[in-house]
Amino acid sequence: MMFRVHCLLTALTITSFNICKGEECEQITDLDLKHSIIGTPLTVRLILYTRENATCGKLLSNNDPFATPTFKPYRPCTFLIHGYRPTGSPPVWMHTMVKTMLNRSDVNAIVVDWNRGATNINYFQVVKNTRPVADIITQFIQKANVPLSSIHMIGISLGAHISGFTGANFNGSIGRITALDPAGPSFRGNSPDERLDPTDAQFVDALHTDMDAFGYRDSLGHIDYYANGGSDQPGCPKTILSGSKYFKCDHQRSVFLYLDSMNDSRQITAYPCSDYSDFLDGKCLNCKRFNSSGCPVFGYDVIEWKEVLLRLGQTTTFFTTNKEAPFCKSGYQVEIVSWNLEVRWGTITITLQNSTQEIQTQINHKSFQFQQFTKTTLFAQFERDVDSVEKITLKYVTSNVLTPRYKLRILRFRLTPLKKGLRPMCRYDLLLEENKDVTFRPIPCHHSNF
Amino acid sequence: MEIELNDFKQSNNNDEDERRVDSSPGNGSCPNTQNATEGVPLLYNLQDGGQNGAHVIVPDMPDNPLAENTPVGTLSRLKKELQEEACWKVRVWMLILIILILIILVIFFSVYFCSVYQEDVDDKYNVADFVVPLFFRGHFTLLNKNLTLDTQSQSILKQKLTHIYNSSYALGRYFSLATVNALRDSSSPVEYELKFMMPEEHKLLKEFTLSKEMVYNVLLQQIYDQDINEPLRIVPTSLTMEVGS
Repeated sequence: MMFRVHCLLTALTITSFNICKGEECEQITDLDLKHSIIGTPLTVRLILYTRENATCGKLLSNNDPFATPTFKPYRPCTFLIHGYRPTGSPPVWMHTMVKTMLNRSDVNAIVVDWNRGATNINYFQVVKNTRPVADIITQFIQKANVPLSSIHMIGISLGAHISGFTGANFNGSIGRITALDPAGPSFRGNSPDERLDPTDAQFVDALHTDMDAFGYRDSLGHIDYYANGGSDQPGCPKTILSGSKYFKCDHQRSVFLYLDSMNDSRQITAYPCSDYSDFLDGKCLNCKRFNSSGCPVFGYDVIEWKEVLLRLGQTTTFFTTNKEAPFCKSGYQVEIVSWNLEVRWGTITITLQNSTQEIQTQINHKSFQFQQFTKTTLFAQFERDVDSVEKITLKYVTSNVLTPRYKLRILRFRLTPLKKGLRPMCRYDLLLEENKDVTFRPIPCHHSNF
Repeated sequence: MEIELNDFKQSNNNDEDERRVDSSPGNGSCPNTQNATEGVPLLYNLQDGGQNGAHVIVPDMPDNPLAENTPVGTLSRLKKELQEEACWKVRVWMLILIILILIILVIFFSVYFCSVYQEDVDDKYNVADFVVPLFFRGHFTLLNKNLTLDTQSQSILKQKLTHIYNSSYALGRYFSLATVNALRDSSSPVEYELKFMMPEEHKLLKEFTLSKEMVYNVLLQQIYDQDINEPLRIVPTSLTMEVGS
């Protein structure tokens, strides 16, 4: 009896050991500052995640992809390529990105781990490593023999240019490249073959969040998104006193925005515009060029606008975000027709209320001109939606000191939600005394004569 | 020695005025100085003593007799002057401060009152200039269908319309009269007429301020805002309006 028990225990131990051995999970290389200082030679590891092994990465051989059983060539391949790693730490967002990706679609999510090679205090050495990384990915794709059009490469910073080089190796036959704040230093002003460009894939979408530091300023995709103007992101520190966050916050925001875009209920609409200030002034809210589909969304689902965007060539778009997730804002077009004999200047604060919610926004990026019998258009963006607005509060603010308390005399105030299916709200005959709240109940807008 | 003598003479000549100032009582004269009397400058005594060879004891005098001409000396004298009583117990520095504050207050209040009480050009108008009539006519139904529109109800509705347009910021000055016609039968809608008076030049006014859109919606939004318990409650969707002649 004892012998049987002993045998059983031994067998169980061996079996569990095998399971554990079989379940060995690959992690992204974890290095530290020491490695960064002495520099690291380039080593590229391809780690596969699928719905079968969503939390346990499997190493892929770039010479024999099929040696890894969970790699299925019939699934679309999505490559996630990180950028420069000055401290050697693995990207904090990578697992979340993989998990969210696999929740959305049944793909071979392949993390390109080139932390050895990206961890170096000498940025220029890391830049030199980008082409060899692209060559190894190219080799893998050739061996895997998957349809090129089904490949989606998501590259962050230097990873964006690695995606571009890989795409160029296939003469732009790869399905899609998503560039998340493509790296600027060492790439600014380069010719298209020395950086990511729209010819590197069938469809290239690029997000810019830190173009004045680590990002790339000019457009390099079929659609380029400039979040909050493309440079300073809300909630990111403005001074070096905040430590390392000061350097990476704007740049890293691109990843978090993209992650948020994978959530269906948090879609951000991007508005085509030539200039950020024009966008803030509400001059670019017309989406007629996209026909019935309206303006494109930012992020993962923009592929639905692929055909119309390819037809348009290159499109530059803008949107604004909140300082944390959910990043999407709720936009309204504001129209004010005033009747003051003299021109009035000022900013407007709008508060929307229903029985449970109250949300406020200040349209104060500049002082607006209100001229008699002329429509002044503003763009109001709220942190979130308010369903069935019951009350609206307006405040007229001027920055004048020691001047009379000006009054803005409004004939018509119209608030049009940019979200489809919502009706505009109006109010007539308002008198806004400077710095005083005026609350009213909006009425449905009727046909307007002026 | 000759050089020292020359220096001394030079300082003596240059400080003639200074010494006169110093000699005034309570103006920095040294009470401990022997042989020093009021009206006789201290430095002058010292120099005389030096020239005549007389022994003068000056315990509080600085080592360098030229110290009073230095910025530190001038500053301390200025301090003493400021500490003097100008009138009653008010010292000179207090007086200067009070005058400065008064000047600032006068400037501030004059700017403030000028700005606050500046007349708003939009409030300036003369009703006598409004001579061209403009009519709007339409009808509405009351929520309470069983109500008979007697003279009193008719008058209340008229007052209601008059109040709405009289209190309108944009239309109030042009509003002239509201009439509510007598009800033909209880089921028929209530007819009303609004009369506005415009100035001779009224092209833009008619297009914007006194447009049908404005006149209609000013009434409509007040109907939406009306109290639920109001007996003569108007159905918002029943309101119609046409521009009359």
